[in-house]
Amino acid sequence: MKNRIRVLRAEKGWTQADLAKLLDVSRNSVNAIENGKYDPSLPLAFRIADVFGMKIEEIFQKGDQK
Amino acid sequence: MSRLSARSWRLAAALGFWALVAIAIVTRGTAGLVLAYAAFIWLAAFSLLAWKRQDEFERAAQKFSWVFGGLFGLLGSLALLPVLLQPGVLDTLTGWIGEALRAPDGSPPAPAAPAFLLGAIWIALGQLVGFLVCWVGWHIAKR
Repeated sequence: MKNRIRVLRAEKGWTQADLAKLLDVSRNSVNAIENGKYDPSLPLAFRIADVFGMKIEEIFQKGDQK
Repeated sequence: MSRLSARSWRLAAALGFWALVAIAIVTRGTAGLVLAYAAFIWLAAFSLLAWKRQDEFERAAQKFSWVFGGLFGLLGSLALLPVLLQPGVLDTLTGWIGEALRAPDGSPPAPAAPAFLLGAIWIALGQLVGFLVCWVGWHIAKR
């Protein structure tokens, strides 16, 4: 699954640690999700969408992360 | 207190467990057995608290590691049984365990007890090693 988290996070000026704190997960989790190495559960995907004020489908798309 | 990190709970689980096991070995007898049970209850309780504080990424890592690491650790420990059964190795290890199982009055345990306990520890140790290998591998692969 592809995602735009790294880009969206950069636009907000957040570090991975900042985003991890907002999501109540570890920085390793954020890093793995950003790199496409780990697909978050649906509840976590919703939390990610909430944090960025977007819909899930605007952040996650089908396919492999580049 | 509930805001302690999962790592802190895990550390408390491990330190408390091994401290109680060490005291149980020194104490021996019925009190030692009670302490050994207390050690496992401590380990279970603090591991549960650690589990609840972990995020889903770490939970996935641990599930994967217990399933595959535990399985291959189990198979590995069975495959290495011939090494354990070498007289020099077996006698030494059962000798140590026999000493640890001596009653407070110095009487030795039942003859089969050290070998039986060694077999259980061997399997558990194999699974633990397998878990750790898989857990480290998971985190390296997901970086």
